[in-house]
Amino acid sequence: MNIEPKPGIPPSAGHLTDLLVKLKEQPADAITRNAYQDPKAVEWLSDRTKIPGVMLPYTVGGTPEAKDLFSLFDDTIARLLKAKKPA
Amino acid sequence: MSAIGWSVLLPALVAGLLVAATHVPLGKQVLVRGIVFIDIAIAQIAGVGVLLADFLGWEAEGIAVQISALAAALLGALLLTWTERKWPDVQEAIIGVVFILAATAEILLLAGNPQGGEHLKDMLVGQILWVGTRQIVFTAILTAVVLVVWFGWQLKIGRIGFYLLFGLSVTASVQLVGVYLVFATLIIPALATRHARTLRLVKAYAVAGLGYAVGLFLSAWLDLPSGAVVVWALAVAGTVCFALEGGAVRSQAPSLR
Repeated sequence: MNIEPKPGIPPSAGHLTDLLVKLKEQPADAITRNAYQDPKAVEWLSDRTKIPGVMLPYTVGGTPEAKDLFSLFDDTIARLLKAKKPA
Repeated sequence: MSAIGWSVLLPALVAGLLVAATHVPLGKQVLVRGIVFIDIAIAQIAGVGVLLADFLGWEAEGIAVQISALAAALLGALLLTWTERKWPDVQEAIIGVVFILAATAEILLLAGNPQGGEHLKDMLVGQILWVGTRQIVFTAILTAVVLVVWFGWQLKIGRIGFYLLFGLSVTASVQLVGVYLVFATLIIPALATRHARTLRLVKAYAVAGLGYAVGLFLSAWLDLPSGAVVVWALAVAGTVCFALEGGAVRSQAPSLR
C-alpha cells in the first residue's frame, strides 16, 4: 500500500482514512520510505499507527553505509530488522 | 463518517480554521490597500527562510527553522514597508519582482537537495492533512496573539505594525497549508464580501469556515487532494456569498438584508 498512490499528487483524506483502517485490521511491520522522499508523511502515519517508519537507501549512495550493491542489500536488511525488533 | 475518518479530517479542519481566523481580517485590509500580491510575496519569502534553514542543515520543524522563516518574513515585510513609503507609485511592481526573486531563490537553495522537489511542492500546495498536535498548539497561540493585537490596536499599529502581524501570520500558515491556500484564505472571503453592508467580518468568516469544512469533506468522499479541493470550495462559497450580497445591492430592498 502507498501513502501517495499517484506519485507527485498529494493523497486525499479518503485515501488516508482507508489506509488507517487497513493498517488497523492488518498491521504492517514497517512503513518504508526512500532516502530522497520527504519524511513528513511517514512520520504522520507512524505517529497514528505506532508502526515504525524506516528510511531505506533505495540505491547505492542513498545512505552512507550503502557503498556498493552488496552493502546496499546489507544496509536495507539491517534497517528493516532494526525496525522489526521491539525497542 | 468513521472515527478514523474524523481523526484524519479534524486536525486539518482545526488548522484551516486557525489560518482563517487571522487571514480573513488581514485579507480585508490587503484588499482595501490594493496590495493583493504582497501576501504571496511574503509567503514565498517565509518559504525561503524555511528552505534556507534546511540548506544550513538545521533540524526540520525545529525552533531554528521557525526563527529563520519568521526573520525572513519580517525582513521581507520591512523591505516592502520601506518601498511603499519610498516609491508608492511602483509598489505593485516591486512586490512582483520580490515574489519572483523569492520563488527562484527557493529553486537555487534546493538545487543540491535530493528531497528538493517535494519541499518545493510542499511550499506551494502544502499538505494540510499532515498537521500534528504540536503545530496546532503553536499556531493557536500565535493566532490568539495576532488577533488580540489586531482587534485591540488595529488603528494604532500603522503600516509597520500591519506588515509585522502579516509576516507573523503568514510564516505560520505557509508551513501549515502552503502558499495557494494562504492566498485563497486571505483574498477570497474579503473579495466575496466587499459589497456586504452589515456583518462583513462574520460573513467573511462564514465563507472561510464553509470552504474549509466542505472542501475537506469533499476530499474524503471524492478521493481528491485536500489542499486543491479546499481552494475550490473556498471559491464556490465565496461566489455564492457574493451572489447573495449582489442581489441585495441591486434590489435595494431592506427586507433582503
